[in-house]
Order: sequence, then structure tokens, then C-alpha cells
Amino acid sequence: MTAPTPQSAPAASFRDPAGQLFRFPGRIVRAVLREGAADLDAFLTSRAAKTLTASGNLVRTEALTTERLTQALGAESAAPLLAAFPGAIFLEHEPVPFPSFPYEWPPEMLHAAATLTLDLADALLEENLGLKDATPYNVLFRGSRPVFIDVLSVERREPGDATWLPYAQFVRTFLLPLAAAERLGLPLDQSLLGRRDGLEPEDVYRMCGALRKLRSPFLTLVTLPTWLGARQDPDDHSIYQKKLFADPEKARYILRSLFGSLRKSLKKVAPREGKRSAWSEYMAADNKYSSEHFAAKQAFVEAALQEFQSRRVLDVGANTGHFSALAARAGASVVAVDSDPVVVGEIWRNAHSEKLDILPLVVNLARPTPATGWRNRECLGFLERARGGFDAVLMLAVIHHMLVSERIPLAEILALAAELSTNLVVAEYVDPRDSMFRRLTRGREHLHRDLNQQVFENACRAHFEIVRSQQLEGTHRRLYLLRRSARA
Amino acid sequence: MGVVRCMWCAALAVVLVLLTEPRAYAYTDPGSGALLWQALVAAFIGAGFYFRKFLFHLSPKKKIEKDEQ
Repeated sequence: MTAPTPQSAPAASFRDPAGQLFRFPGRIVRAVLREGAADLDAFLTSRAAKTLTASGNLVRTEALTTERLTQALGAESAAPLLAAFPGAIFLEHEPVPFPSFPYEWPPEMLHAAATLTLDLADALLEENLGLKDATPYNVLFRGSRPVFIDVLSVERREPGDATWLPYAQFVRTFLLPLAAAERLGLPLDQSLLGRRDGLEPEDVYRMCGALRKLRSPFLTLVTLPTWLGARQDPDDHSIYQKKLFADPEKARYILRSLFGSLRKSLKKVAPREGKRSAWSEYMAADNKYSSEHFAAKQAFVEAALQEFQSRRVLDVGANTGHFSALAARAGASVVAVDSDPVVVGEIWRNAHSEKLDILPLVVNLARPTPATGWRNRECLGFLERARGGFDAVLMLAVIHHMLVSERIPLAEILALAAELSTNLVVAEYVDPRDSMFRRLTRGREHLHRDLNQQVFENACRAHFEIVRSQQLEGTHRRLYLLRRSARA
Repeated sequence: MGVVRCMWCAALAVVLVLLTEPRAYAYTDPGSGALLWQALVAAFIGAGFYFRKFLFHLSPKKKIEKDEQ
């Protein structure tokens, strides 16, 4: 039985019949129905849950009494929940600072989420527990570290059951999008933004040439399932009947081997290190900075973050994450966005190996991730999550890209910056005479003939006060430290 | 000896499969081709499981232990 959703608080997650999840300002509350209670208890008291919670890879969860729930949410929000879920258990999860979704991740992060899911499935097996779903939506990232958030995904398994029902979902939502990204050049946003449940083997089969269909890992993940599925009578439901073995050890042996083969497939579709893209060499080679200019820029950003003690930083157009790392080392929690999955993947690798608090996301601020899912309420859009969430926004060497390539008006760009930041914006003004600016205009200089330093400063003053600015000597670039004005 | 035991186990497994009331818990789509492929792989690995047991029973170490008993 599925409980009705209280209209005053639409559920953010509702597909699992064992419970629903609700978002309230600053709080995440889950209602667990009676039928899910025993599975939940078995999981939360398991060794696997304790180990993962201790390592930070499982979301912290606390049971709420009716009184605590009312206290936490206020009577107005708590009452409809209590009425809709009589006898339910209520849990509160520690919120992950910035929720992100698989279509915003570089392949490296989807790979890390897949590894965590398999690690959990493996650990649960030893305690006669199992996952009932295996999707990247069960994982969020706290900085660069994956966190498993769906405590209702775990159920007690029948000892003789050797079928892993989420196998197909694991393949659809992890392995095939990774394989398509790595081998067919299909970015994750294209495979996952429009499809809630990933890529079907049949989808990928159509994208593969004859030789690729027979090659690993496509043969076992795509071709054979497609052939077998085509031969299956759609009215024959016998394949969905549970098959139990008398020997539980045999069932565990089969599942362990299955997880082992999924790990091998995961290794085969792992994103390669050292990939190149149009933007990956930008900081090093294409950029017209001398090391002197770069040092001056670094000092300017460092001083700004230090002076205002910025704690939550958004780095827009982060490239390989040099300034994100600078902010993270200064103690800030950073969200770094760039439209190129290759550079975002590189930021993740560096942040993960250096244990820096950086969440790197593939987001183009000129075309931010939309809200998705049922009623557009399951996964919020990027701006909805980001608005007012940062006390400093870095817009270094990015505004001219938005002006020229995306044709966004300057006033609009600064208005958005003022919505995103509660305090500071560190911006780099690039004059139309700059060589990079001209490279982007490609003969359309006339569109920007009215832009100059004075025009830029006037546009800034609509939302910000200019705390200070500094010319990068010998260039047509100027750095600005902007602070939101009281009237803005 | 090991082979006979394995055959009994296999026969018991088949009977249990036939007698078990089918119950499906998943709310996620288990697919069709992928599920069939998993069943084939499971059958293959399952055979390996008995083969492994069989090898274990025939292993010299096991024989020595039995002789000692």
C-alpha cells in the first residue's frame, strides 16, 4: 500500500513503496511505512551501515519521535505528514550541502558512485542483506566524496536467492552511460538528463557498429541482452518468478561472482586519465597570461577570500580548478562549475586525491541544469539549488565567454551573480581589445563596440559596490572585488 | 561420493524452485534481456560452484584428511 502524499509537502522521492522523502528548508525528512520498518532496522544495525557511516559514505540518519518531528518542522508542516503516514517511522537525514545529479557529474564521479554502490552490495551480502535498487540517484556528493543517501534501498534477502534484481538498473544507469561516454563520446548529460532510468541495452545496440557489438564490454552488457530480450515472449512472465537455491552458500557464491564481473566491466568503462579537450590546456598554453599576471590574479583572489572569510564559494567557469583549490585550501566549501566534462573530471581527480572540499559539476551557467522529474520537483534545477547559497562567487575569465559566445547581456550576467552570492563576487573584466575576446568574436566586434571599463563598472554598481579593482599590467584585463550593496 | 552429493543438491534445488511460491519485491524495472543474461551467467557460475566443490572433495589434502580419519 502506498500512503497518499500530503498536498502541502509534495514528496521529493516516492517510487519506493516502503516510504517517501520530503524536503523542508534545511531539513530532509523520510517517512518509512510499517512494511519497510524491519528492513530499515536490519540495515541501520548492520556492520556495513556502521562502517560506511564512520567513513562518511552513508548519510547520517536519526529517528524522530512525533514530538521531535513537530519541533523540527513546526506544527504546520508536521501535521499533514503525521496525518498522511499514520504509524510511520520518521527519520531525519543530515542534509548534503549541495545536492547534485548524475547528469551534472563528469564520468569520474559516476564511476565513483558505481563503485560505492557495488561496495555496499558486496558488504551487505555477507549479512544476508541486499540492495533493491541500484541507481546513481541513491548517491550524492559531499565535496568530492560520494555519500549513499537512500537507507530504504536495503532489504533482507532470502538466503537462497541468487538473482540480483537491480542488475539491469545498474547496467542501465551506471555501466552503459559510462561506456557510451568513454567509447562512443556521448556526454552523460545527453544520456541521463532526458532519461530517468538510463540507457537501455537496445539504445546502445543501435549506436554501435558491427564490430563494437561483439567487443567487450558491449557483447555482454548490450548485444547478448538485446538478442535475448528480442527472443523473449513479452507475455511470458515466468522469467520474473523468484528462483531460490537450497544452498544459501551457492546463492552467495553466484552473487559474489556477479558483483566481481560487474567490477570488471566497471573497470573497462572507467574514464581515462589525461584526456584532452579544447579547454583542458587553456590555463597552461592558450592563455595569454604571463606567470607574473597569474601570480597577481592569484594574490588578488586570495586576499579577497581571506579578508571576507568566505566559507561557501561558487567558482564559475572553473576550468581545471586552480582557483577552486585555492579557495578550498583557505577553508571554503567550493562548488566548481564548468561546461566541459573533461576539465570537471580533472578537478574531481585532484580534489579527491588531495581531499579538498570541492564539488565539481558539469554546468553551463548560461544554460543551467533544469529541474527534472515528476512535476519538475524530484530534482531541482541548478539555480534553484544555488541561489543565495554562496558568500563568494568567482567569475574569472568567464564573463566575456558569456557575453560573446552565449550573447547574454552584461546587466543580466551581473544580476545573476547578485542572486547567487550573498556577499562577494570576484570578477575579471576582459576588454574587447583583449586577444582572447577577439578570438571569440570572430569578426563580430561591432556587437561589443560600446563595451568598455566604464560601462562594466556602471553595470556592476546596479547590484554591487566596487571594493577595489586592479589592472593586470600589460593586458586588457582588470580584476574587481565586488560586494553586494545594501540596496541590491 | 562428492559427485553423488552434488547431484542430490542439484535435484533438491530444482524441487525447491518448483515448490517455491514466486514473489517479486523489486519496484525497479528488472529488464528482460538483462535478466535472462543474468540467469544464464548464474547457471554457468552455479555449475562452477559444484565443480569447485567437486574439485575440493577430490583434492589430495581432503583425501589425506579422510584417510587419516
